[in-house]
Amino acid sequence: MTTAWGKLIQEHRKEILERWLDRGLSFFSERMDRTTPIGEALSLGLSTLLDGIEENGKAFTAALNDVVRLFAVQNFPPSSSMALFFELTEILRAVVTKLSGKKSLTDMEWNACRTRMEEITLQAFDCYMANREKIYQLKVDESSRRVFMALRRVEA
Amino acid sequence: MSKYAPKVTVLKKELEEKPGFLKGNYSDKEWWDIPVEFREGNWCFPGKPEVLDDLGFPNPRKWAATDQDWKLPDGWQKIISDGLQSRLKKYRSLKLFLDTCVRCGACADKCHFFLGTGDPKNMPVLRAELLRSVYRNDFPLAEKILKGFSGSRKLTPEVIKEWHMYFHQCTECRRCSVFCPFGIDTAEITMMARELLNLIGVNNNWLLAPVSNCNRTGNHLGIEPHTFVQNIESLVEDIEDHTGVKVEPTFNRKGAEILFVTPSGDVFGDPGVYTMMGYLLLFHHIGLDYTISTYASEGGNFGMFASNEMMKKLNAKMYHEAERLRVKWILGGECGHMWRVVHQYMNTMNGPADFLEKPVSPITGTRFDNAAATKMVHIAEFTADLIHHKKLKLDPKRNDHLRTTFHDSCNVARGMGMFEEPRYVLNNVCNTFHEMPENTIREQTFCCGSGSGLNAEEYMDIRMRGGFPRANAVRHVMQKHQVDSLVTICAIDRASLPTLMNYWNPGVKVYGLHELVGNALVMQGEKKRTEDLRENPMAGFEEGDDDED
Repeated sequence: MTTAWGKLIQEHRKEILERWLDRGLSFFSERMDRTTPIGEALSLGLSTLLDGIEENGKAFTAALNDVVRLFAVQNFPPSSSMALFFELTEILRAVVTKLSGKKSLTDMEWNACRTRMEEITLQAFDCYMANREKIYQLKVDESSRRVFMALRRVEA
Repeated sequence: MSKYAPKVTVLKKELEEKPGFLKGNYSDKEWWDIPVEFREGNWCFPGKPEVLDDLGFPNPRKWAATDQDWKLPDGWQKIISDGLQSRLKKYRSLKLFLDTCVRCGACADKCHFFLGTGDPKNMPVLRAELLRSVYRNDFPLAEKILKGFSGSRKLTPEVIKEWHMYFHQCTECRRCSVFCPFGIDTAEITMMARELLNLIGVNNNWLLAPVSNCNRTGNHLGIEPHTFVQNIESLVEDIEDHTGVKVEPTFNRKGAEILFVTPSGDVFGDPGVYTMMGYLLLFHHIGLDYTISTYASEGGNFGMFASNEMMKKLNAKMYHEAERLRVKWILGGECGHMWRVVHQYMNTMNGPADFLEKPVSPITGTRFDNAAATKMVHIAEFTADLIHHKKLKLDPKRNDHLRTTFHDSCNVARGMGMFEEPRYVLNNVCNTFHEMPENTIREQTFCCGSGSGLNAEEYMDIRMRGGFPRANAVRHVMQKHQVDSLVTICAIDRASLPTLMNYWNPGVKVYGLHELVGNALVMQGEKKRTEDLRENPMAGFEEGDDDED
């Protein structure tokens, strides 16, 4: 981590991850247990995001899609899914305030942090839409596969 | 106290802060007061009126789950109540299952829909309670004495909506039953609930349209006999192109030794047709005296998900056809619920099939005593026996371009206890096979999330949620062992898992077991093979390479 806010995340990673994961799990109709396959996948995804949060590395981008893909087929609205990324700034602020005391960030550093979070949120929105579009494509593909032989005959 | 025991402070915090297990944001209400909300992606289109007319099912009409008024028939409460009473008398298992549950919760976190959605009404115990609560209301004395304690409730339109929502978020996979200390089969509760819903016209077109097709043409896809034959002949041409070998299946041939029945998806859909090519190669390889019926042209039985009467009727056609063709016994292809119906219900439903003989493999002489009642042998069992007796010339290297894992299909694994045979075959036709984690295979296998007639396109969101535990297990072996091929022995799996994989694990392809058998079979008189049955290049068999050591 090279930025001041990135270092703070690294320093308080466990606490931040805990709170962030808790928020993500609470979106489900009952709080999803963290030992379920979804809980584990979300935990893995969010921890990978935290570890590479400063820039769009390969692992970060893949993890962002993994997390958003989980939400893109759930019962809660897209706004909830996106809220998870907005909330990271607040979680960071709360943890830093609680644990770091004087070691907080300057306004400029907070602005840089917020800018990055907004960037991530917009990327997450793109991922969300891509996954929704994929769902519709899957419907088309599945219908085509089901009548494979008929289509083959038509094309012949 | 164990050092691993949770700390009191942690438990206290959780009790104070965590929402109640069933109450969520409805802390002042009972679970049944939590309304169901139908929205795009979480309901299947209802049966079309013409489909219901064709089947003689009640209350054909146009409606949608999102409508306020579902246009239920007059006296629908009595229809349900009488329907429940008659089924309680007819099926002792239903009464037993409704009465014996002690709500221990062992089943709760075993359901793939609960794991994939977090919705408490998807806990099998609570799903059954949706019906049980109405059942309890039908005992006036108990209701009077225990009102408020017995967990009973009146039958209202909201209850019907709740049933429709949650009994269509159960694929009747029976994973919960494996963990139930009483052996309660929640799948049978779902079957009964769906039967009751069908009595008042609350249904699912993706399920009933295939039933209607099968009722009319003999298969779910509605393929008429001439098209059925043309499709298979087209696959025969493909086989000749790929291998240089001309296989010669026969249709409706009286006096053949064996009737082969498989799901119609194997004759019409991708990737099922490649599995069909595998069967045809295998039968040619061993010189099997078999025929395929264009009338009993479906192994699957969607009747099972609609009503017992339909299940019985659709199952009967296979046996009628076997009798008409005067075959000795039936060989069944890779299918899920066909085997559940045959193994668990056929004998008492349509049996005994005493006009058939106890199946004996004409190649190895093995007598399949396990099929003595049904006279129907599973293809995986049949092929495993051939391999065991060294009757097949196989080159597993021909599948070296695939790194495989095996998905136990619920109905074959839990429905008939078949675990070893497909693995034995797979291990003999490929060199790279990795199991998924122990608690996701064999009797603990996770459903594809689309079984029991829920494989509708409009239901995609729910299917992706319900299939997540299975996809997650595949992801594990994909990352750990670079698995790229998911092998299965069920037509619904072959139809639905490609979609599930494409969403959760892009790059993983789905194969039928006998497609890999077809790849590996070294046929007499074959030309040099460089491609598998999908025309994908085989590793190490490129043009110019020697394909045999």
